[in-house]
Amino acid sequence: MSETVRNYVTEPVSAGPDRGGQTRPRSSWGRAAAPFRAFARLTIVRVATRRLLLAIPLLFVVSILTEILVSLIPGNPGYVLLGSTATPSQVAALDQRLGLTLPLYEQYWHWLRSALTGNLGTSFYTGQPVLQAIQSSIWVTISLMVGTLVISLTAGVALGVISAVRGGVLARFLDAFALLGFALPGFWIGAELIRIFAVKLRLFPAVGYVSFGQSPAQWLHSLFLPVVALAFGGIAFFAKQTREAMLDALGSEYITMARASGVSARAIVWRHALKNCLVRVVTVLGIEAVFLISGTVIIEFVFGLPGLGSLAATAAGNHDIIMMQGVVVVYTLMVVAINLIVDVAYSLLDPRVGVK
Amino acid sequence: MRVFHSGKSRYAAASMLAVVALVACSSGGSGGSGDSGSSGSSQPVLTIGVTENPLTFPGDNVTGGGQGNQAETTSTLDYAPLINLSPAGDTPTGLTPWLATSWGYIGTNYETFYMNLRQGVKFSNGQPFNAAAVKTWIEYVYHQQLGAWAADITDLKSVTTPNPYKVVIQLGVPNPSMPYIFAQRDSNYGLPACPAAVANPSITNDASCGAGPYEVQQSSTVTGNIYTFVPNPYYYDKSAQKWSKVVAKVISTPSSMLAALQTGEIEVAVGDSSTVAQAQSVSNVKVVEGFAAAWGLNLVKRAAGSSPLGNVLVRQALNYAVDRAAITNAVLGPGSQPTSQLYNLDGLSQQANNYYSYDPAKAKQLLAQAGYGNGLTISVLEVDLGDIGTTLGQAIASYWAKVGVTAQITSLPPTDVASVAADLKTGKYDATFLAAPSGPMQFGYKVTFVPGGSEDYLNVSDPQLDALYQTAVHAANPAPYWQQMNLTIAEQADVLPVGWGDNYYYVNSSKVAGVMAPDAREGLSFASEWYPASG
Repeated sequence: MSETVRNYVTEPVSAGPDRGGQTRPRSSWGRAAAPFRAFARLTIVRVATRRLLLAIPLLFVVSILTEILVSLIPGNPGYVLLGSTATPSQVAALDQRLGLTLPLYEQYWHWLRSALTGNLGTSFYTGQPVLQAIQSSIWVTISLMVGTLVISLTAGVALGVISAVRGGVLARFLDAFALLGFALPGFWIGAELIRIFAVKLRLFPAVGYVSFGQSPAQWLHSLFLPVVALAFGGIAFFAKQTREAMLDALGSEYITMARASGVSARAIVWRHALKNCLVRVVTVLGIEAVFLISGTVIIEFVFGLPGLGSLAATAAGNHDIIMMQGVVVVYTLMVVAINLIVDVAYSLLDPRVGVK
Repeated sequence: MRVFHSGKSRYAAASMLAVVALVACSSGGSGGSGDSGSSGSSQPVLTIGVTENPLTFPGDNVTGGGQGNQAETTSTLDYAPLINLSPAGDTPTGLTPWLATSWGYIGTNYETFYMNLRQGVKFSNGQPFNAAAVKTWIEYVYHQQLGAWAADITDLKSVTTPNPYKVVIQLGVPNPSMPYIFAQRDSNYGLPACPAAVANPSITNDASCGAGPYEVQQSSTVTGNIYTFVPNPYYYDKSAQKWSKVVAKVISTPSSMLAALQTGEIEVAVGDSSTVAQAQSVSNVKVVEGFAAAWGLNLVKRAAGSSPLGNVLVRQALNYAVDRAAITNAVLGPGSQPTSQLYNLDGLSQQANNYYSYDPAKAKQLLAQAGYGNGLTISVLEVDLGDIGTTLGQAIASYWAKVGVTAQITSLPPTDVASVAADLKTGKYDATFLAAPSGPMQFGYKVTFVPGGSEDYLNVSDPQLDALYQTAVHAANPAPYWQQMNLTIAEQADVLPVGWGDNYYYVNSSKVAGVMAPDAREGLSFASEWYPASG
């Protein structure tokens, strides 16, 4: 392949701004710090640092908003916890014990002071430390999300590429499939999967979760139907995005040059065009991953999975403010992590994208 | 442009193989801990589906536990009650010995109650079960006021232990329902926890410390999801330990619960009125049901001169206007029954039960007599409790409309209970939602008809009811007076009960036997009574 074509196709990236060959004498401190400075200049490091620094005020804002919004919900945890036959004095005593009679800012301050030491409090409803509850739930949700993203991405990208390349009936099928994927709610798909593959065919369990540590095979088995239920919409989403991006890429000049230079069709699609359309896919991957957080709540309920979503839904129903606060903080951290991964992936896929 | 060659078929084949391998190398339909079936010992494993977390500590979770029948279903597995509420219910023969071998009142004023305790019993942590432990437990629940049912005992003067296995409870007011209070229904008093758990309840976050036949196994329990009960090594009656293990899976949605039963992942499910018809059509599944609570309306402003409800003729008219049979069947499920009384174990009156027939003509006549021949408006506050609640209110409203009564319904979710109570106390609404859990007459009376009761929002008292109550608590046999109270409530139309809702249990009858939900016991079934169908 000629140098020109190679440049068009791979669009090499410079390692960084050209300093014009300028140098200056360095002290011993400067010499010692040189490797660290070189590390810090790496785009990935700058991206990650910026994201993590932004996460701190974000966590504050989210936790304050959660406290305010929860306080605005009519109702009293005491009545919810003790039931409608509780006397007002019982409820008042419980409110006192739970610290609910304090002003909101004091409640938040107490919670923040504990949270900064790693103590997210104790659930009103179960008496379990919030951190312990989250630790036992988070891996279920992460398993579900990762599995869904892997399936959605793999199948979606493949479907999108194929339909972009082949067009015709497959393209129309993809459009119809995408419409179905967007329209059909995940809980309905989940219920139908249970009805067909669990109840009728007895191939998979209807409910429940087996941890990876207990049995990797059973773990996969217990997650298969929930992942498929969640991935249905994701496949459609990625397929549609990939198809559009692939069509754009295949229509660009460098691809035309590549074809003219005799590059194989397979290489054009899978090595050159795909890499450039993956930038868009990575963008929507981040968006999809964030939306998936809310999607897992319903699916965990339907399939009886003990994940963060179930924990959040149960806490909300029981007016368990402490647990809700903890779960919201964790969800925020997950969103930050997802955005960080997306940014890092961006910088790896396209070195032209950097921190300004 | 063709891109794919034979590699496409390789990928497809590999994917198919992966799916087949996934299905093949896992046992089918056995999620959770994979515990269905035998666990290696000679006794089988029982797997149950529940919708609420089983109790790990009757005084825990801030609530005191026992908030729903699902928690009670498994409560006697790890926490044996002092007095057993047998399927015969709260009748002279219904309360049978368990951790207490005998009990009674000293004197005739129902103020001094004693229990003789079983000897040779230990809690699951090895601590001895004795009078000192029971005294500690009773005082803990009472002074902490843990749970809504702590108020079952009022004015506790003292708890003494004349010998290591006898407890004497001195009250300041008569309470003829003490044996019931120390049974396993609706009460924490009757489910003693070990002294170590009383001193530090956090040890029972995902473990138990009772004197029941089983104990919660911490290593196999995930709070809120799956609870594993293993035989209590210290339990005094090994023959009562019918299962090598009992696994309770928390499944929130009724359809998922039924699906889990159909796939064999659970053998007994706590049912729901929305799935009972479907469950009845499943082979090998038996539906067991029993009355749980009376549902209807609490006519809050029954004593308010400013409200139409202050007139007994209006209240009676509202009762006559409603077709209880139709509403009950549609809203409460196929097994429920219409009723004109608040169902109570010891005050069940057949006369009160059928007091109001469906008679719209009579309703109109009564309204005209009361001066509301041109109609009136009643404001109703409904609490949306799943498939009942608001639906029931709307059904009642549709019948009222036929006799010229307009119901203005405000519906709130259950988490708005505080605002509900506050609004009702200001007299903002004429009526509100009523769900009267079955229980002794005096409990219902205190909650709904005594000033200060949590559902006597306007502090209304009825001298006739009060007089009957005072007579009952001093009578050798209070039952006729409880029945008369129920009849009086029906005659005065203080409330508008519609029907008794059921508790449902779906049972794989080829695997499990002994599941009963007797009406006399408020439709409750306790897992400690179940045994393998094979023997």
